[in-house]
Amino acid sequence: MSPRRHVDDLFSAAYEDDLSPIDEARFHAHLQSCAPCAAAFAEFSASVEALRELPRAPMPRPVHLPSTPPVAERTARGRISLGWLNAGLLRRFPATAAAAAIAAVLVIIAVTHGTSSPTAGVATFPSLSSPASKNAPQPQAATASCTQQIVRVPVTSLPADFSAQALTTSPSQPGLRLVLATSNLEVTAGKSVDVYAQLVAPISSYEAPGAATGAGSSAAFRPCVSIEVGGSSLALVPKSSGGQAPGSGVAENPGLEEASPAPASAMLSFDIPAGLASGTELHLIATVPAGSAGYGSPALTATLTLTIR
Amino acid sequence: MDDEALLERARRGDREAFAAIVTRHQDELYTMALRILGTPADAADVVQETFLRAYVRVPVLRGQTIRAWLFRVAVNCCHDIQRRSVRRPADPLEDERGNIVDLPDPALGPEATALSRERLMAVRQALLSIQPEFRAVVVLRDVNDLSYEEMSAALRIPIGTVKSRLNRGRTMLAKALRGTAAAPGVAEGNA
Repeated sequence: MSPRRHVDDLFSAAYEDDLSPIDEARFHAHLQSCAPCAAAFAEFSASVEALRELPRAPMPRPVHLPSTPPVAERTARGRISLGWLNAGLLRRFPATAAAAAIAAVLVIIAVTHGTSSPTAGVATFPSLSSPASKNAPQPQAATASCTQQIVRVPVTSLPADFSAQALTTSPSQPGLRLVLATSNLEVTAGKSVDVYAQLVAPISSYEAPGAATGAGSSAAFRPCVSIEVGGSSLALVPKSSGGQAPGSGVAENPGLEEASPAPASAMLSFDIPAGLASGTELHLIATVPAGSAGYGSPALTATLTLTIR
Repeated sequence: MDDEALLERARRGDREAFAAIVTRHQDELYTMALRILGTPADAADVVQETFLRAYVRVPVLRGQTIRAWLFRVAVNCCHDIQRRSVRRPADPLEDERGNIVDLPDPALGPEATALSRERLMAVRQALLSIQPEFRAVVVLRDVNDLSYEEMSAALRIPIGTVKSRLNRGRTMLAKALRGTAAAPGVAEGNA
């Protein structure tokens, strides 16, 4: 047996000065009597030093972030209140917590069945109002504010008169294109607004994750789309989006569903509540969580800012 | 302002606070990805993807652990790229715009600069020859200077495994560097 084998498993710890007193004594005693081990340790240490001398490389291009804020305020509040419920109320006041939970469930049921809201399509906590949220597993990076399932839709051309457009692409997967568009950035309170939202992915990356992307057909998906009313916690959900009913899940794409028999397309319509003051900004947001367009696909967000006339 | 304070502002919708986190960590993440993958374009993609994922996870991130979290996501992104079948050849020193990303110290003079450049390339090539699971540990420790605890969190492996992989990875590196411009004798003889 080579003497070197006696201590080479200690090289890293010795280099880090992380040996126990017993090992340290054994290590140094061995090196004094074993020239190959001493040379090997010198080589080991020099290699680590050479690696540590490599300079830090600066990021060569700017990191692009979505234009929307990192997280909607309501989401943070929701999480804070749930945490308080779990850690505090539930532990100290179980009966009250149970009552609160039951009340919350009743509210959710009422909202999801659309019977309690005087303004259809408007929800202050849309993450609780989505039928999808209770039965669809979410991808790892799904946002809490994404309230609709990402459904596959037929590839739809952008309407010619939808001149207000936002396009988001991914540096890591250039074939992915998230397009959000509408006909006019100025909208009227009390009327509806039509929106086009579509994620297009190369069919190869969707059906064969990891395969090289080549020329060919594309798959289209409708992203999660909502409108956040500036200066308030109001968020509007589409009144006609189609394809909301749970369908057969796609195994490699949790949270992704094929379109149901109900018509689903890239076209959506929102009711703009009456009473919104002129000049109020509405943030139209389309999001797709990571993994929606195949394994490893990035999260994408596209936004447009609408203004009440 | 520390990461937790910036995250708290980001949770309230402050985009600039998150941008400050990006500025703070982007270079170390890029350096890590570059050392693991060897291709600047892929490394930059990893950083971009990592921060996009972080952006939508702001509500659940914590400042004390965001660095390890970012490294974990970035390492996973690197593994995703490594699993792809088509690999671009590593361009030793240039990024996708042709900029030199590893600059030897110009004060060393032409000969020393050439040697330094040769040493850089030797180390980088030796690093890329190590098996990926060992390379990641070596890079996190010897390039990014993460603690054992941070490495354990980033790689989701026990600290004991971190240490054993580090020892094996460094040993592989030493063997790969034998006879190159970065071997101890060469470096010392020309210093």
